[in-house]
Amino acid sequence: MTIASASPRDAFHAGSFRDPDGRVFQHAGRIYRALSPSMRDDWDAVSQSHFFRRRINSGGVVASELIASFPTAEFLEGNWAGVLAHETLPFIAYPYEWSFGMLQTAAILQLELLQDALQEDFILKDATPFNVQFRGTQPVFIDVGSFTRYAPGAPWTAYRQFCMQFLYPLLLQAYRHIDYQPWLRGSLAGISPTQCRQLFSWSDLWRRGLFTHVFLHAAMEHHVRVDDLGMSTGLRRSGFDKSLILNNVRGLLKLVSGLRWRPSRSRWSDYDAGCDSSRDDIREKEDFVRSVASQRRRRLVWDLGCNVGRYSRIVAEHADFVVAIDGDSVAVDRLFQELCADGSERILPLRINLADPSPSQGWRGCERSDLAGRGKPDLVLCLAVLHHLVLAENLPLPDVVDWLAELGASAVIEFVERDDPQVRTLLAQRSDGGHAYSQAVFEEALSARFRVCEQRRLSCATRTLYFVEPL
Amino acid sequence: MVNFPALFAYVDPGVGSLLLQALVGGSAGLMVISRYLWRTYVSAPSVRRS
Repeated sequence: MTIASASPRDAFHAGSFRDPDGRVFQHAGRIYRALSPSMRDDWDAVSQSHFFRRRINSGGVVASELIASFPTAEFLEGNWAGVLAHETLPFIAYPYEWSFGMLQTAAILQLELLQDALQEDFILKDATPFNVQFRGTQPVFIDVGSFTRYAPGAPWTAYRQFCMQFLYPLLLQAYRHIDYQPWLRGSLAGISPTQCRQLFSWSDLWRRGLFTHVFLHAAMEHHVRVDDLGMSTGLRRSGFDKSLILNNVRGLLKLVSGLRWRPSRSRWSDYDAGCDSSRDDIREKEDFVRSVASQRRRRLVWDLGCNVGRYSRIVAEHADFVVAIDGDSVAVDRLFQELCADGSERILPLRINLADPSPSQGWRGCERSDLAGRGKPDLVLCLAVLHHLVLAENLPLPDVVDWLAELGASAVIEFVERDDPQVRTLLAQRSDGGHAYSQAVFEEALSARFRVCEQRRLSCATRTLYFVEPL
Repeated sequence: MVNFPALFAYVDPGVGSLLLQALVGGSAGLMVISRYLWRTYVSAPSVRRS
């Protein structure tokens, strides 16, 4: 959304309404934040602090600078005391698209920032993973408006939010092997203490962190009947101070850092290793992808069905940024861990089911954008994924080709024939369903929307690669 | 007089969560809770009665 909108209120990003002291907007391809007088005051103070400058320099907080001469009155409705210009990140992703390791990494950054801030008498107003983005595998805190001065004796009001949106999803995945992504997508506010308590049994009580942060939390939420202000004032008068918050944060850091999700290997996480019989095919596919990727540098590439990221890595050598998408939590988390070990900053792994991708949602359906609404790619890799969408998810083949065409990007598409062992395995588990799944149908759909630039049949003779440009 | 800017209107702190923070804050937190309970349920009602 740009500031050239008809109504000044529409100039602000649809997802930045929660904190009225700082509203985000986009102008000429850059991201800005309008600051109210009180947030400007906070910014002036926090931007001078040691921890903040250290985090900006290390990339843990989004680079931001005050624009002294921005004509706010001309563009923005309201009383604004300043405008910050932010570094633009390559792709916005949401917590319900992250793997376990990504949410854990974001939670650790959130807690470390709070710890650092408190030591210099600042605090974070909120604790939501939507305030963290990833530059590849590096977490970046983007909501600099969350920092404010700490009022002596005040409690950490965002503790409950931290539990609901960071801690409980991590605990459920680590202790119960429950994928938290569908839950966070279904409820942007997260999982309440009472809901989380219902998902654990008394036999889980011995597990680290559950007694206090889940069982006791839910019980106190249910039984304590005092208003928020009365409780805060009472605690302050009784000697509450920031050392208690720091103790809690240190405990949470230890708890979150120690959580491990040890999934049983999924079908897809072993897919790459199980392809030994088709090593020649893999080498041919690598050559084809490398040849297409090296034709010109691309800004943004999507690798659909990336699995463990073999082709994402190849294409990342010739692109500014690669979004590696797969529906399998285990495969995506494994890719994230491997990319962390490599120190990669150009590949962002996301857990998204292509047959049920992230929708536009939240307030008025536009608080959070759908996938394409966050930036369309220049190139799409769609390798060994089409047959899953058509045969396993029952999507009509021409519809899938249409969807790819709507992205407006070049594409590398692999068509796997019915005789291929992978397709035979897929069909052995279900009825054919009368799918119009054939190379002829595929090529007809393809020629209606794309121009085929290059085509190569792999040596296995059941797979064909196409490099296509949109018409 | 309550003047916490930290009670941000758009985040629901939850009263149970506020009290729990003191509880997980270690021995100093237990002292805070003891004082809070004393003030709320013993000291203040007795002042009101007198």
